[in-house]
Amino acid sequence: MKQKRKIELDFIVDKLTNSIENAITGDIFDTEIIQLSVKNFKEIISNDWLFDWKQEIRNKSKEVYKLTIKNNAQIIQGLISYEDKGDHLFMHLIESAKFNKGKIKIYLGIPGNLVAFACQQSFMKGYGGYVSFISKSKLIEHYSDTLGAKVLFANTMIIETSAALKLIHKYYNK
Amino acid sequence: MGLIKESRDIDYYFENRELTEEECRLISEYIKSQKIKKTKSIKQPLITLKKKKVETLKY
Repeated sequence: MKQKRKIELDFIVDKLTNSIENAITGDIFDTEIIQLSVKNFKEIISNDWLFDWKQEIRNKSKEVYKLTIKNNAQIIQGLISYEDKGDHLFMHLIESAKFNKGKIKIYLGIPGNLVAFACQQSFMKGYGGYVSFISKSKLIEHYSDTLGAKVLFANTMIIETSAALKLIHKYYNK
Repeated sequence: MGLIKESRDIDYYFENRELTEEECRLISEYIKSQKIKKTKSIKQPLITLKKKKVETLKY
């Protein structure tokens, strides 16, 4: 019998920062977010990532972006994949680089930064900042606290205009 | 820019699966309803203001 593989996303919203912050020194670094295409496959070393990002890039209905520190575009700090649903953006995946996960993470603020970017893109597409995603049950409260996301039904959550503005303000308005 | 929640010990996850057609419809309906609600709340004070103006003119 064919077994359906369940994929889960590592999505730690550790801190809401203007950009990203070195967890040890507290230094703040400006970030850049750049769209990836098949031409960028070389940049993604499969073993470094939990999810198959090359497959995400190949999927034409999705857009994949990398978050890097300004003037250091070679080192990917985090990745996001979302889909345009016509009236909002649906986040499929967010993953921090392995050195930004767990207790010994180097930088704080990667997932929050990427979510804020999705909200910004939602505004730019005329969707009023609306971004949805499917949360794990135990994390609903966490996403509600950190992102201002609301439960729509079951585990489906949505970031509405006001929460989206808040996130964008935190990350992009200095 | 305060610390919202520092969680280095726990890994957080969300489901990576496609939305079903029904889920897409529900989300769209919700967004639509919220936008209508917002439009109504913006228009409401204007209507009240117009009514008051008419009343004032009668006097």
